[in-house]
Amino acid sequence: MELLESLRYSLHVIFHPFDGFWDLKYEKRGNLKSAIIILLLLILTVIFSRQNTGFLFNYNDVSRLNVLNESMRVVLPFFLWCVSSWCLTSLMEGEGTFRDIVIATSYSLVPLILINFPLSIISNYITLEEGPLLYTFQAIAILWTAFLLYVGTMVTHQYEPGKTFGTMVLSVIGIMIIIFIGMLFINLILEISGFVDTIYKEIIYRI
Amino acid sequence: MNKKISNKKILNGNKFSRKAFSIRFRIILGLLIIIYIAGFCNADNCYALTAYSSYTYDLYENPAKAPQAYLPKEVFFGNDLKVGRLNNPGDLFVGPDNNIYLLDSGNNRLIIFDENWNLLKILDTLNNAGKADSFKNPQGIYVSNDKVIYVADTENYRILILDENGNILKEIKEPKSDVISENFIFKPIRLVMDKGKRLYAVSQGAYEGLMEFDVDGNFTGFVGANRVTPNLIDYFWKRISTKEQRAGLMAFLPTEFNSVDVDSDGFIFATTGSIDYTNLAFYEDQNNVQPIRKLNPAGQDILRRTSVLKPIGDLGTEINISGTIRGPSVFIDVCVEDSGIYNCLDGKRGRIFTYNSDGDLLYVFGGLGYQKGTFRAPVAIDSLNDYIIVLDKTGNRITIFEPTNYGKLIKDAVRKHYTGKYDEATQRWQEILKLNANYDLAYVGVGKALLRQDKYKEALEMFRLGNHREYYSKAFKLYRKQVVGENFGLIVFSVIAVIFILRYIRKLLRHGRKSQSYLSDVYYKAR
Repeated sequence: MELLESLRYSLHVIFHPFDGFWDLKYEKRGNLKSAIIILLLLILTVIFSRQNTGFLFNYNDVSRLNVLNESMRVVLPFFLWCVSSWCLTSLMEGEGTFRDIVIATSYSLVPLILINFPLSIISNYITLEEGPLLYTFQAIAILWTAFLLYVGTMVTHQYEPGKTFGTMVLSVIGIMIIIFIGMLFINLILEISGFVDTIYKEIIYRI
Repeated sequence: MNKKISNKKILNGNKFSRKAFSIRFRIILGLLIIIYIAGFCNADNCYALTAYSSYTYDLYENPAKAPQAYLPKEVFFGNDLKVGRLNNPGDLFVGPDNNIYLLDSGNNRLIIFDENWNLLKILDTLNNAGKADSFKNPQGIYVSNDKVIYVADTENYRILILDENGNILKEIKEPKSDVISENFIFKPIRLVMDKGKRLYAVSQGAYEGLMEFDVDGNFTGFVGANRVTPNLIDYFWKRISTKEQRAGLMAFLPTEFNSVDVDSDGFIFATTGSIDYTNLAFYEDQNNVQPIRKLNPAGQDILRRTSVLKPIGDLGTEINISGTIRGPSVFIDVCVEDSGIYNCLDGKRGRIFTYNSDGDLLYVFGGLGYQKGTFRAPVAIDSLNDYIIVLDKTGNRITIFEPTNYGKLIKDAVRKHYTGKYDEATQRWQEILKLNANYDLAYVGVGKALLRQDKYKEALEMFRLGNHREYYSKAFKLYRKQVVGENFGLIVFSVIAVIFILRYIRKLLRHGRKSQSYLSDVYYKAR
């Protein structure tokens, strides 16, 4: 019941972001469980829209849809954003903990679910000429989410508007750095494993 | 106010049970994450093509297997044709009377066969106004309707105009003109004539376009030059780099043509091998890649490219790589048949790609190799009736391909469609679908017929299978109109009903919430 209540609260957050994010953190209206449920719902929405968007607007090869790969499109950016944002804000006197950031971020993703899910159903009943309608709503969902992310960051860390914007830009750069280091790391591991593998083979062949 | 206090109370009171739940929750979450990550570990499927497979591309640029449209009928070496060993033959042309003209470049001779491959004549010594003359590594041949032979005598730097008996009627040597730069070398490799008796020649290394000569053999200019479109980034780098650096950069040169053919309406088809394929992975950019062009007399490209995937041969995207050869096709010759069908010869993989007048890929056949039906280095292609003849330069052989039943059906359908006999074309498409369920073009063909018969629902299914969004949208619009028209009363009724039900539910909810909050107030006060 508590869970449902905090999920229902997300509807309040997206329409009253300043008030909503404040209560989310300081009145403990949000929790990690509902944040994860929202994330799961978003994954489901993404998969659903990949699968069930009308033929006219669905440019994916549905026969090769991989649920895991699709879910990665949500999970990876989400955690990269949270980690990057947490790294930066803890350096820049932000008041939010990692938990706060995860909750605020996932609550700001609610418009994506609310708009994209019905859109993919509606897309089955419209023609190509009516397509711009669809794209407009998709754009609204993204702008709305971006705005919520902005307000969420601002309220959670008690920043001024300008500083919030700067932090968000830096977070994006941080994401790129994380990806770069991650790739570097994977590459190195591969090199090392390849090296060990060659030595092993070399020894096996000699014996 | 009350509610918040009660929340806190619950938090403190159930501390132990909450923690236990939280640990279980964490374990479950951890397991889920492990399963989730493990799911990525299975390898993706690989899609490989053998050298001989027949295929078309689906909308997602994946090759879709297809039945063979053409099979090798015969392979001729020089000895099979009683002309001795061929030596690096350069070109082959099927003349107006179906005689076959073979340019045996290494032996500097021209061999003429009739359509059943009986030897008619060998021209090796030519009569140049009384004096003996000969070819030197000629690379291109064309025969006009009045049986005048045009030969690109490449290493003699001239174009020869001959009659059937080897008498030289005229020689075209390097022309003098203001538009030709001083270090230009006239090395004709291919030539063709349009309906106005203008001669078009491809000169090796000439990036200005095709060389056009008038009836009397006078040079009139270059046509069909490729447009150069430097992009903004290149321009930026050029601006900031020094003179030396600029000299080191690659020059913005337009690409050069490598072969030509002419269709029955007199339009010139030209292929070009050097194309910037950097952005090919995104199929929006296929429009900018034009390895095959159809030139009107003004030199403009008027090839129709209305198909989803453009006529560029193999796409060379990662998934389509076969064997060790990478990247998209390089067209080296073209052969135009009737009804807008044209065959492009890919020198890279030795494949022949056949397109219809809209640029839809009809079928693919051929390949590189040593077996029958493959080539070592194909160089020229032409058609005789429905047969396709391919000349293998390194293999010194000629391969004749014969259409299968499937290939004949496709050609028939395209021809019927081209001449406006849509009903007959539809019949053919339906038969093709029985042979190849991956054939998008056939689905669209059948769909169009169904659309004309007002069978919208069936047409929709066909357009979906054929991956044709534009027509799907058209059919859907009509279908939706039909459905709404038929069930107008029902729709209006259900809309009104839904509105009333929603209102009722809202009323109920509002009432329920009021009473609940009232009750909870009483409850908290009591506590």
